[in-house]
Amino acid sequence: MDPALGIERKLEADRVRREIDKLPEKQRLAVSLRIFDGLSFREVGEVIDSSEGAARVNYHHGIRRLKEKLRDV
Amino acid sequence: MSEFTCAETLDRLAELVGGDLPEEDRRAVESHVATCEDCREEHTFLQALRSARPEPAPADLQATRDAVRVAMTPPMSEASSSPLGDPRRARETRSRWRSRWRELRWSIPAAAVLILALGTSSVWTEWLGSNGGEAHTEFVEFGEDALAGFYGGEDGLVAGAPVFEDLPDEVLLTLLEEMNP
Repeated sequence: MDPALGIERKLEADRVRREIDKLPEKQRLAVSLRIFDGLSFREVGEVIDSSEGAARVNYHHGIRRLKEKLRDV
Repeated sequence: MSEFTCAETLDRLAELVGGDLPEEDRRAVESHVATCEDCREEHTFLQALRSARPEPAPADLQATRDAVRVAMTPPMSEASSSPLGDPRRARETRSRWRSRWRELRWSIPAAAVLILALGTSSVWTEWLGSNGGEAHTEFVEFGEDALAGFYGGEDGLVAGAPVFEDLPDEVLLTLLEEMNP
Protein backbone atom coordinates (compact mmCIF):
# COMPACT_ATOMS: atom_id res chain seq x y z
CA MET A 1 0.00 0.00 0.00
CA ASP A 2 1.15 3.53 -0.74
CA PRO A 3 2.45 4.95 2.60
CA ALA A 4 0.85 8.33 1.91
CA LEU A 5 -2.49 6.62 1.33
CA GLY A 6 -2.06 4.71 4.57
CA ILE A 7 -1.45 7.93 6.53
CA GLU A 8 -4.40 9.60 4.86
CA ARG A 9 -6.67 6.72 5.79
CA LYS A 10 -5.34 6.81 9.34
CA LEU A 11 -6.13 10.52 9.59
CA GLU A 12 -9.60 9.87 8.17
CA ALA A 13 -10.14 7.10 10.67
CA ASP A 14 -9.05 9.37 13.53
CA ARG A 15 -11.44 12.06 12.36
CA VAL A 16 -14.30 9.59 12.03
CA ARG A 17 -13.61 8.28 15.52
CA ARG A 18 -13.52 11.79 16.98
CA GLU A 19 -16.82 12.73 15.36
CA ILE A 20 -18.45 9.48 16.47
CA ASP A 21 -17.19 10.07 20.01
CA LYS A 22 -18.87 13.48 20.02
CA LEU A 23 -22.29 11.96 19.38
CA PRO A 24 -24.74 11.57 22.26
CA GLU A 25 -24.23 8.24 24.00
CA LYS A 26 -27.14 6.31 22.48
CA GLN A 27 -26.53 7.68 18.98
CA ARG A 28 -22.84 6.82 19.25
CA LEU A 29 -23.59 3.26 20.32
CA ALA A 30 -26.33 2.79 17.73
CA VAL A 31 -24.08 3.95 14.86
CA SER A 32 -21.02 2.01 16.00
CA LEU A 33 -22.92 -1.20 16.67
CA ARG A 34 -24.79 -0.99 13.36
CA ILE A 35 -21.96 0.05 11.05
CA PHE A 36 -18.91 -1.58 12.62
CA ASP A 37 -20.38 -4.58 14.43
CA GLY A 38 -23.35 -5.41 12.20
CA LEU A 39 -25.94 -5.60 14.99
CA SER A 40 -29.64 -5.44 14.14
CA PHE A 41 -31.85 -2.65 15.49
CA ARG A 42 -33.35 -5.11 17.97
CA GLU A 43 -29.90 -6.06 19.26
CA VAL A 44 -28.83 -2.41 19.45
CA GLY A 45 -31.99 -1.69 21.43
CA GLU A 46 -31.03 -4.36 23.94
CA VAL A 47 -27.55 -2.92 24.31
CA ILE A 48 -28.67 0.68 24.84
CA ASP A 49 -31.66 -0.40 26.91
CA SER A 50 -34.21 1.03 24.48
CA SER A 51 -36.90 -0.26 22.17
CA GLU A 52 -36.12 -1.35 18.64
CA GLY A 53 -37.83 1.81 17.35
CA ALA A 54 -35.77 4.04 19.64
CA ALA A 55 -32.61 2.30 18.45
CA ARG A 56 -33.63 3.00 14.84
CA VAL A 57 -34.27 6.69 15.59
CA ASN A 58 -30.95 7.05 17.44
CA TYR A 59 -29.10 5.42 14.57
CA HIS A 60 -30.61 7.66 11.87
CA HIS A 61 -30.07 10.83 13.94
CA GLY A 62 -26.47 9.82 14.50
CA ILE A 63 -25.88 9.11 10.80
CA ARG A 64 -27.43 12.46 9.84
CA ARG A 65 -25.21 14.31 12.27
CA LEU A 66 -22.11 12.48 11.08
CA LYS A 67 -22.93 13.29 7.44
CA GLU A 68 -23.03 16.97 8.35
CA LYS A 69 -19.65 16.77 10.07
CA LEU A 70 -17.88 14.44 7.62
CA ARG A 71 -19.15 15.59 4.25
CA ASP A 72 -15.78 15.25 2.54
CA VAL A 73 -14.92 11.78 3.81
CA MET B 1 -38.81 -9.20 -6.20
CA SER B 2 -40.42 -6.83 -3.67
CA GLU B 3 -39.67 -3.14 -3.91
CA PHE B 4 -38.46 -1.18 -0.91
CA THR B 5 -39.36 2.33 0.11
CA CYS B 6 -36.66 4.84 1.09
CA ALA B 7 -37.25 4.12 4.80
CA GLU B 8 -37.00 0.36 4.26
CA THR B 9 -33.86 0.83 2.20
CA LEU B 10 -32.18 3.18 4.68
CA ASP B 11 -32.88 0.68 7.46
CA ARG B 12 -30.99 -2.00 5.52
CA LEU B 13 -28.03 -0.04 4.18
CA ALA B 14 -25.88 -0.87 7.21
CA GLU B 15 -26.41 -4.58 6.56
CA LEU B 16 -25.72 -4.02 2.86
CA VAL B 17 -22.31 -2.40 3.47
CA GLY B 18 -21.58 -5.05 6.07
CA GLY B 19 -22.49 -7.85 3.70
CA ASP B 20 -25.08 -9.24 6.11
CA LEU B 21 -28.20 -8.75 3.99
CA PRO B 22 -30.10 -11.83 2.78
CA GLU B 23 -29.93 -12.27 -0.99
CA GLU B 24 -33.50 -11.22 -1.74
CA ASP B 25 -33.31 -8.08 0.39
CA ARG B 26 -29.91 -7.22 -1.04
CA ARG B 27 -31.26 -7.22 -4.59
CA ALA B 28 -34.24 -5.11 -3.59
CA VAL B 29 -32.04 -2.58 -1.77
CA GLU B 30 -29.55 -2.35 -4.62
CA SER B 31 -32.38 -1.87 -7.06
CA HIS B 32 -33.75 1.00 -4.97
CA VAL B 33 -30.31 2.58 -4.51
CA ALA B 34 -29.77 2.54 -8.26
CA THR B 35 -32.78 4.73 -8.80
CA CYS B 36 -32.83 6.93 -5.66
CA GLU B 37 -30.20 9.63 -5.36
CA ASP B 38 -30.72 10.26 -1.62
CA CYS B 39 -30.38 6.60 -0.72
CA ARG B 40 -27.39 6.26 -3.04
CA GLU B 41 -25.71 9.16 -1.28
CA GLU B 42 -26.33 7.54 2.08
CA HIS B 43 -25.04 4.22 0.79
CA THR B 44 -21.81 5.89 -0.40
CA PHE B 45 -21.44 7.66 2.94
CA LEU B 46 -21.88 4.45 4.94
CA GLN B 47 -19.32 2.68 2.76
CA ALA B 48 -16.83 5.48 3.42
CA LEU B 49 -17.66 5.42 7.13
CA ARG B 50 -17.12 1.70 7.38
CA SER B 51 -13.86 1.80 5.42
CA ALA B 52 -12.59 4.56 7.73
CA ARG B 53 -13.20 2.39 10.73
CA PRO B 54 -10.33 2.86 13.19
CA GLU B 55 -7.82 0.03 13.17
CA PRO B 56 -8.58 -2.57 15.82
CA ALA B 57 -5.94 -3.00 18.46
CA PRO B 58 -3.23 -5.58 17.68
CA ALA B 59 -4.15 -9.04 18.90
CA ASP B 60 -1.47 -9.17 21.59
CA LEU B 61 -2.36 -5.72 22.90
CA GLN B 62 -6.03 -6.64 22.94
CA ALA B 63 -5.23 -9.87 24.77
CA THR B 64 -3.30 -7.86 27.35
CA ARG B 65 -6.21 -5.47 27.79
CA ASP B 66 -8.61 -8.37 28.19
CA ALA B 67 -6.34 -10.00 30.76
CA VAL B 68 -6.10 -6.74 32.71
CA ARG B 69 -9.86 -6.32 32.58
CA VAL B 70 -10.40 -9.86 33.83
CA ALA B 71 -7.80 -9.37 36.58
CA MET B 72 -9.47 -6.16 37.71
CA THR B 73 -12.93 -7.70 37.82
CA PRO B 74 -13.55 -9.51 41.10
CA PRO B 75 -15.25 -12.90 40.84
CA MET B 76 -18.98 -12.86 41.47
CA SER B 77 -18.67 -14.85 44.69
CA GLU B 78 -16.00 -12.46 46.04
CA ALA B 79 -17.97 -9.39 44.99
CA SER B 80 -21.07 -10.63 46.76
CA SER B 81 -19.16 -11.56 49.92
CA SER B 82 -17.54 -8.15 50.20
CA PRO B 83 -19.69 -5.60 52.05
CA LEU B 84 -18.32 -2.86 49.84
CA GLY B 85 -18.79 -4.82 46.62
CA ASP B 86 -22.55 -4.66 46.85
CA PRO B 87 -23.99 -1.11 47.11
CA ARG B 88 -27.01 -2.33 49.09
CA ARG B 89 -24.83 -4.16 51.64
CA ALA B 90 -22.49 -1.16 51.82
CA ARG B 91 -25.47 1.05 52.68
CA GLU B 92 -26.61 -1.41 55.37
CA THR B 93 -23.10 -1.52 56.85
CA ARG B 94 -22.90 2.29 56.96
CA SER B 95 -26.32 2.47 58.58
CA ARG B 96 -25.36 -0.14 61.20
CA TRP B 97 -22.17 1.74 62.14
CA ARG B 98 -24.08 5.01 62.27
CA SER B 99 -26.57 3.60 64.77
CA ARG B 100 -23.73 2.07 66.85
CA TRP B 101 -22.05 5.47 66.92
CA ARG B 102 -25.28 7.06 68.13
CA GLU B 103 -25.41 4.50 70.99
CA LEU B 104 -21.74 4.92 71.95
CA ARG B 105 -21.19 8.63 71.51
CA TRP B 106 -21.96 9.44 75.21
CA SER B 107 -19.96 6.47 76.50
CA ILE B 108 -16.64 7.89 75.26
CA PRO B 109 -16.67 11.10 77.39
CA ALA B 110 -17.92 9.04 80.37
CA ALA B 111 -15.00 6.60 79.95
CA ALA B 112 -12.57 9.52 79.73
CA VAL B 113 -13.91 10.98 83.01
CA LEU B 114 -13.62 7.56 84.68
CA ILE B 115 -10.00 7.09 83.57
CA LEU B 116 -9.14 10.60 84.76
CA ALA B 117 -10.74 9.91 88.16
CA LEU B 118 -8.84 6.62 88.57
CA GLY B 119 -5.57 8.29 87.62
CA THR B 120 -6.12 11.12 90.10
CA SER B 121 -6.93 8.72 92.95
CA SER B 122 -3.82 6.68 92.18
CA VAL B 123 -1.61 9.79 92.36
CA TRP B 124 -3.36 10.80 95.59
CA THR B 125 -2.69 7.35 97.12
CA GLU B 126 0.98 7.51 96.10
CA TRP B 127 1.29 10.94 97.70
CA LEU B 128 -0.28 9.72 100.93
CA GLY B 129 2.01 6.67 100.97
CA SER B 130 5.17 8.76 100.68
CA ASN B 131 3.98 11.29 103.28
CA GLY B 132 3.35 9.26 106.41
CA GLY B 133 0.95 6.77 105.07
CA GLU B 134 1.65 3.07 104.94
CA ALA B 135 5.13 2.19 103.81
CA HIS B 136 4.72 0.15 100.66
CA THR B 137 8.30 -0.49 99.60
CA GLU B 138 9.93 -3.72 100.62
CA PHE B 139 13.52 -4.74 99.98
CA VAL B 140 14.09 -8.30 98.92
CA GLU B 141 17.65 -9.42 99.51
CA PHE B 142 19.24 -11.13 96.55
CA GLY B 143 22.19 -13.29 97.45
CA GLU B 144 25.18 -11.81 99.18
CA ASP B 145 25.24 -8.57 97.22
CA ALA B 146 22.88 -6.24 99.01
CA LEU B 147 22.69 -3.83 96.03
CA ALA B 148 21.74 -6.59 93.62
CA GLY B 149 18.22 -6.77 94.91
CA PHE B 150 14.71 -6.03 93.89
CA TYR B 151 12.50 -3.62 95.70
CA GLY B 152 8.94 -4.73 96.01
CA GLY B 153 6.09 -2.27 95.94
CA GLU B 154 2.35 -2.62 95.93
CA ASP B 155 2.35 -3.33 92.23
CA GLY B 156 4.94 -6.09 92.46
CA LEU B 157 8.71 -6.22 92.21
CA VAL B 158 10.37 -3.22 90.61
CA ALA B 159 14.02 -2.39 90.17
CA GLY B 160 15.25 0.98 91.40
CA ALA B 161 17.37 2.89 93.82
CA PRO B 162 17.18 1.61 97.37
CA VAL B 163 15.36 3.71 99.88
CA PHE B 164 17.90 3.54 102.69
CA GLU B 165 15.60 4.73 105.41
CA ASP B 166 13.33 1.74 104.84
CA LEU B 167 16.15 -0.81 104.95
CA PRO B 168 16.70 -3.00 108.04
CA ASP B 169 19.72 -2.11 110.17
CA GLU B 170 21.59 -5.28 109.24
CA VAL B 171 21.40 -4.45 105.56
CA LEU B 172 22.46 -0.86 106.15
CA LEU B 173 25.48 -2.11 108.06
CA THR B 174 26.40 -4.44 105.23
CA LEU B 175 26.13 -1.59 102.77
CA LEU B 176 28.30 0.68 104.87
CA GLU B 177 30.94 -2.00 105.20
CA GLU B 178 31.02 -2.49 101.44
CA MET B 179 31.22 1.25 100.78
CA ASN B 180 34.02 1.73 103.37
CA PRO B 181 36.07 -1.43 103.32
